[in-house]
Amino acid sequence: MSAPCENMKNTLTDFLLGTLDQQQSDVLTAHITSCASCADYLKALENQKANLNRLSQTIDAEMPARIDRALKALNRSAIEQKSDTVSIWRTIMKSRITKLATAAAIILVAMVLIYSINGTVDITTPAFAIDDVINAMDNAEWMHMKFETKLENVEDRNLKQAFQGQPEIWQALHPSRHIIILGNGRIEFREVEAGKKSIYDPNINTITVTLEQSSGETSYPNMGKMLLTQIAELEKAGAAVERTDIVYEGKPAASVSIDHDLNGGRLEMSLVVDPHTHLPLKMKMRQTFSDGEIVTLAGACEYPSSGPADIYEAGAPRDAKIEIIDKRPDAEFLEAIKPFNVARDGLPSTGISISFSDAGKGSGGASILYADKPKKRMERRSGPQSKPATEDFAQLLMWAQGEAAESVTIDLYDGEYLHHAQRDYEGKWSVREKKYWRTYYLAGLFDAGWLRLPDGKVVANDYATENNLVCIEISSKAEYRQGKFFQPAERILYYLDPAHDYMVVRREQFKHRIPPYNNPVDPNTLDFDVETTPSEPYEIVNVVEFGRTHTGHEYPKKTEETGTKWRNYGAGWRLEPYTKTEHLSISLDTELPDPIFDANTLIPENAETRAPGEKTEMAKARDEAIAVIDSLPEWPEPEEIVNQYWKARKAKAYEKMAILWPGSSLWNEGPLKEPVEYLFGKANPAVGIENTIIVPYATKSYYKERGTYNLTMWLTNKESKKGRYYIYSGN
Amino acid sequence: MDGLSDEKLVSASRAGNKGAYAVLIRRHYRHVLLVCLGVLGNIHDAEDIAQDALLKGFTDIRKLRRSSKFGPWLTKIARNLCINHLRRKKRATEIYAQTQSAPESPATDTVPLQRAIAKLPEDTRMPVVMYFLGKKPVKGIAEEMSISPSGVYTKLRKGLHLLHDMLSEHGDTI
Repeated sequence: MSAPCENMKNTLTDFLLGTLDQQQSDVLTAHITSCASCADYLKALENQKANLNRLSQTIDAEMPARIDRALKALNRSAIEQKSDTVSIWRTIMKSRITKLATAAAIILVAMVLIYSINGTVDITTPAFAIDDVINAMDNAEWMHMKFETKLENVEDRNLKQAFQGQPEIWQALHPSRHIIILGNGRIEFREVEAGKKSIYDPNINTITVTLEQSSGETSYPNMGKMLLTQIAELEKAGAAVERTDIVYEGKPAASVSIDHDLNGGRLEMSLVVDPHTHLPLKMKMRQTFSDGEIVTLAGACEYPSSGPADIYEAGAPRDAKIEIIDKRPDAEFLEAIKPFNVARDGLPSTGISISFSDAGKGSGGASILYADKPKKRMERRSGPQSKPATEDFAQLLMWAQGEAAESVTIDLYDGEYLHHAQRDYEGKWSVREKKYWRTYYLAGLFDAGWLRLPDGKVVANDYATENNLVCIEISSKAEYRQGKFFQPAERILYYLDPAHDYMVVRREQFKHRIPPYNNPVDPNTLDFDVETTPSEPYEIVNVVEFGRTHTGHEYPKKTEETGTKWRNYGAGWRLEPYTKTEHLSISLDTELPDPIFDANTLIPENAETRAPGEKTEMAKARDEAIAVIDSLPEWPEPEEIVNQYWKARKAKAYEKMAILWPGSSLWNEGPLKEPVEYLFGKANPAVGIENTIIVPYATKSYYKERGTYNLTMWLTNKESKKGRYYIYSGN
Repeated sequence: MDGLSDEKLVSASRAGNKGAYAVLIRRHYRHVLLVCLGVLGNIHDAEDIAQDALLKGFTDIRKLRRSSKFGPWLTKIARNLCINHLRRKKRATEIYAQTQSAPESPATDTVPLQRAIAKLPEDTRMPVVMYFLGKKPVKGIAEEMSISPSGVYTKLRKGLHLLHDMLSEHGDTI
């Protein structure tokens, strides 16, 4: 084939690509009728295009098979999504608990050091491995340690008290008994399997014995197992481990020590191990915290054949008063609940539930709960504040996990510990220190529809009798913390139908929020509680029915709750009706997503995590604004502050707004709604809240129509050195 | 789940939902495969790397900050993996010389064409693959390659001429 005309080559390809206009096409057509080379070239190009189309069709035809292979690869793969490794170690070491002479701290020291002996120790002492040491400790009848303690630069009063003198620990594992004798005379004696905890408080010369239903298992924190994981992290972080042979009390011994920079501080530990018995003989830990506090613990270990049989043998005086708190369910309760448990046996107990609550006025929230009851694990995520688009379960699931959330909290219960992570409005994650939480899973699973068993009593009432139901009542007294109302007295009634796996939960709260919280019946008592009040419940919080069919489907999908709430819009507290809607959807027996129940997934990869103690951007901005307020020669009265704020908002004067409402600059610079005119009422001190003033206000039209204010701005002067008020909350 | 947006599917995938990610795979696989083919020029390698890219996408999905940009993000992963693959291949070729030829497709009438596509320069191959095999519009290819549409046409012209030349030598076109 001869070559096409050079000046027509691109025109031929353009023709093929369809980019020639009519005139250019006509010229080309005229040319190829008289030029065989160009005609051949065009024919070749058209063939080539046809081949390309065939290839395209072949690729498309094979596409489903290729996609299928990719999907199979995805399913086969055990890939885990990457996440920032949460340093549980860091979390632990931040904890006050580790500074206390508790079993946790001591075992922690032991385990860190034992772990570091992994492998052989030295040629002159018999070689041993970590398992040997763990086994030796496990087999010892008792372990007893007495500590010398030293605190430097520590202000915390409780910590100081706990470290007075020589704290002592006794521990036996079979059965599990843990005794801690603190320097201030406080003694804790725990018998885990028996569900008995005795605490002697020397201040009131009283022993409080708490009896709980035994779970039938040793649920004391398995520090060893937990720490092995954490210590691996420490090693990865590059802790220098030094192993040497020493002579301890005239005998050869192995010494292992770690000296490591930790979270801006320093951790120094050493452990002496008997090379024959493999038991730790002595351990020392000195930790310097980033805030300058230094805690030193050092003690020798003994392994006696017997230990204190009760709290008296541990040192509590025989004349101490005894208070017994019996939380065990009585025989009648256990008997009544038996058929229900039998009926529930074998039902699916792994599931995902999402609940969404909408309490109106933009308030509400969602939580998604993954539960794995047999493994006692559950994870709850909550966060999104906006409404879901649908009630469809699959879509709700995605929505609840999605980015719509302004702030997200994740609670993960791993069977022993509760982990908590939170993403704030700046998108930063923080992890709270994990807590040992023996019964948390019960509360969590209750949310998913399972029954909470402890502390209940079987009661008879008309509804139960009429419907042949078992009624269990669980009640709790009101709680006050530091003189402030914290939790109202509450009664929860469970109506169970063993035959149909049916449950109604009626929750009543005996609210009495108006200070000074006195019982209206008996003014000398603080609030009233369920047991003593003669009145009807102040508020029935909600009544929810749970049912589960034989297929495991749970209902209802939607519940509506109405009630009344105390609200204060500046003109005093008043009761207001409210409606709350909750969408509940449960999927049982489903496959849970892979990363669930892994504490390391609490923080997504790449998320910035605030350093311990570091203030949020919002807090920093607030501090700066308050400094500005204090530096000004004059500062307006509260009503004028609010007035100026709304004027600044109308004028989009963000800098001014950021001063009047410190910290608001970070979230105020969004699009503003159409400005409206407001009228402001007289500022009133907030009842029961110190240093706080409320300025009522309303839009002009609202006030004109009703003559009242429906909005409030809250001002405080708590952080101003000059006592100047600034806005800290409002609507 | 198929009707959900990429954003929602990405959110669910972030929580480890492989089902949601499977929908994303179905939705974006073709494009990723074509990109890999455009870079590598070999359909077998392209499939392997596309698969790697999709798995890596799942592993790294939490790194994706804007879930609406899942497609471009995945494409970028695929391109990077292709480039790594080519580097490795080049190194291997340098070390072991070319003692073995890559496995080839079963003999079909498109095999010479596939070989010819593989021999195209990469900046030409990509628009050829996208336009003729992927049936993508020129404007979309231009955006993806960050060049002008007329630049795409220039490369398509060049590609057609080169293919013609290679296939003529092979004796396949006419």
